[in-house]
Amino acid sequence: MRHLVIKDLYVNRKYMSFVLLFLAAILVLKGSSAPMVLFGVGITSYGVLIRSCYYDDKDRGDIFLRTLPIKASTIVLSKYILGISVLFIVVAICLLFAILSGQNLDIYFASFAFSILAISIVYAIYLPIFFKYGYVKAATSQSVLFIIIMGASFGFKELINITNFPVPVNQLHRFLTPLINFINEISRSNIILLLTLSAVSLVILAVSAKLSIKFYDAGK
Amino acid sequence: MEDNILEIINLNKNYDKFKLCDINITLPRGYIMGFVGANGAGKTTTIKLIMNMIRRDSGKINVIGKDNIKYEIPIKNKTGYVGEQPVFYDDLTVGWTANFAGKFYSDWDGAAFNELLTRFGVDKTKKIKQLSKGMRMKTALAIALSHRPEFLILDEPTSGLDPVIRDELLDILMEFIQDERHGVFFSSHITSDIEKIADYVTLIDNGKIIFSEEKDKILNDWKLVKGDINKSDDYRDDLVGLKVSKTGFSGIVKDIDAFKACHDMSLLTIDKISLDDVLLHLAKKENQK
Repeated sequence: MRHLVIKDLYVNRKYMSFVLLFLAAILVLKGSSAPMVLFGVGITSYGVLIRSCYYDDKDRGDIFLRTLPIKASTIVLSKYILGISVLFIVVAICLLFAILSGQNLDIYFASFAFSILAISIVYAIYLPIFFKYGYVKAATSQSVLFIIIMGASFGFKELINITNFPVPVNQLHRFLTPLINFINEISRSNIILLLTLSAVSLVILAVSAKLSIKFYDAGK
Repeated sequence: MEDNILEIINLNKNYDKFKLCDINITLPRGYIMGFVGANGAGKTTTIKLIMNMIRRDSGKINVIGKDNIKYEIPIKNKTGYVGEQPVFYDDLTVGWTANFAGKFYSDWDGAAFNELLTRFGVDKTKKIKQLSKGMRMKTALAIALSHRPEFLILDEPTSGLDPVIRDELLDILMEFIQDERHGVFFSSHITSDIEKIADYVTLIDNGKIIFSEEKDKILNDWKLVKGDINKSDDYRDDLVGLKVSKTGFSGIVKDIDAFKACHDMSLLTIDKISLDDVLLHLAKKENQK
């Protein structure tokens, strides 16, 4: 597993160096901030994972790996571990800058929590599609997902107004209230928020990994 | 130790437009088997099934005496594989690639790998994308041989290589097989390569095994019969894969004595057969069915 992750990091060494330098430059010039954390975590970890999948597809690295004595589950799980590893690297860098610049770390924990959850959801959707349909279709599905999310976030209210959405807003509110209460509860401490959302992310990734292993095996 | 390094029993694999039907192959240790067939006959599919790179529908495959699915990892640990177009990560160097692959083998021998690279004239600092097809093949072979495998599986390794490199590759296989615990399964549509080094020959056509026998037995048993074009119809039923050209006809026959007993041989010539003749005529026969 370790060697597969190192291989993916090595294959992406130029991209990693470029993005980390870019991140460091912004951190130095503009200082560490919560939006920077979201940007850094997102662009770096998602980018490395996507590019490692791209190289597997372009160089047919998957065929090479299948000829080696490696379990299918190890090959699949290594992509998840890669994503999580890069996530940790970027979080550590951002945290280091925040400490060095003497900022209040508590705000960062909330940013980390939501970026870890967001990236985990993206991985959890992307990787099973990649292992089932390959890089091109997985990339397409990500674009579609992105458009849906953007469309939903900008146009949801307008859609309700235009179409006279049949579900009353108060009913939707009643449905979302327990979730909002839960987030409010755990948000009282940003460390608890970080731990809770990290645990939720791990559960989501575990379910996704199980699905990916099934797809990878069936893909034989 | 198991006597057979490879046993394939009633193997089946169905695709929409192609199927492998009841494949049966046995290769004892200490021998090289040539796996011959036209393009699209089912060679690569069979090899991918042996390597468990694709799932079989039914049947059994034992490699080094063990089921190839249940014992996939220990089998791959003792099997060297070289594909038709060896695939690696383009941006990695030869040395990095081998070092990476070596991490997964229990018996990886880095010194042996370096020796092989020197012998093959491959620069280990070069990136994979800078290598020619021949160099890639040699790199793949060096990796396949450096973890002390017992069994080598090669899928069309000589295809597209120049004669010098092809000959070198055949020499390496001959060296490898000097250890009688080893075995080589070697697919090709270049029958001259198979004829040069194989002990056993298996012919596959359209997903079916036509024969799987000792090479010498095939070359001794089968004969090439040639004759005048006007008489070709007289022999159509008794000759396999009858081919008619402007100058005459040719066909092959397994039991030449029985054939002689039924026909006037004064108008015919009998020639020694090559594997190419067998492949061409038997494949023609299958297509006529």
